[in-house]
Amino acid sequence: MDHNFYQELITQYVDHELEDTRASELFAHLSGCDWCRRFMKSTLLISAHITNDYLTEVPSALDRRLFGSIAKERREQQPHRWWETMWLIRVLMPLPAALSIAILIALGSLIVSPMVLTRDTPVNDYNTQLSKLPREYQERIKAIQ
Amino acid sequence: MESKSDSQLVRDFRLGVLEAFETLYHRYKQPIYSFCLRLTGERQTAEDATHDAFLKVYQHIDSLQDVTLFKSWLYSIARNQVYKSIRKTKSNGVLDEGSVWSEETPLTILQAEETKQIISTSLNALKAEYLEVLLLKEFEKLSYAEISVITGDSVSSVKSRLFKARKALAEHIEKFYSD
Repeated sequence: MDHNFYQELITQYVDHELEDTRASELFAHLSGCDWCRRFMKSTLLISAHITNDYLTEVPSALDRRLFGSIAKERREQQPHRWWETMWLIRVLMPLPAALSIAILIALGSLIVSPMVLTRDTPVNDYNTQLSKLPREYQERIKAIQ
Repeated sequence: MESKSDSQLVRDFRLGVLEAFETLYHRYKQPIYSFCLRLTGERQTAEDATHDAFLKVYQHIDSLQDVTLFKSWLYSIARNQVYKSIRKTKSNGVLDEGSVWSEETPLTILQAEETKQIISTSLNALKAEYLEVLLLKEFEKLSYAEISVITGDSVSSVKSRLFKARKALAEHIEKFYSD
């Protein structure tokens, strides 16, 4: 008796892939074959075990990890829009130089301007000296001018 | 979004709706992770394979020609990721039709007392190429034709592997009870 043949039919029966005509042939055999009945019992036992104990808790880190990878993927997929960054480079490159020059001018002005403002001009100096002279001399000098 | 079919979600995702992808992920993450875990036997490897599988789905959704085959496509990607990691660790990726058991023979674990433990350890001792068809059939209730799409084998090869796996397991359980 070809037990292998009938055990293959048992497998197909358990998988719901056995034709009806074959199924009746199988059950006719099973009624008289203890060996194949035991095979069927074991197959059903395995089937029940896999179905009941199959699902496993997914690690909580997986969600975060996957969506982190997807976010990275999305960032990398975005096309490099050079025109959006060019204006920034053009502005930022001369900006430090312009800023340095402005600071130097400001500092220079602060240093130089008090000197300019406090120093007596030749005209001021001349008038000061003139005012120190006696009135008579002052009038003579003015008359000469 | 939850009530939509896989096909509808795939179409939405192709139009750029990221929420559709998230729904597909939450729908399948547990069965895919469980499938990978059963095949690899290692939590970290299973997590890596699940992560890589869903990332590939995200990257290559446009390459899926028939949207009704999303589930089979997802399983085939997960399966490939598992095989990649198995090849890396065991160099065990080549199908050897001659032997059903992996190097760890179930005879070494015959001392287990519970039926459940015996079945679990026997399943873990099965080679991945036999275990995968058993899991896809028993848990996912996929047809032989659908499994053949996932594994890339013929229907008769799937049928044959399922039979060999079940016969080996049944003989092992039988042996345990008769001892």
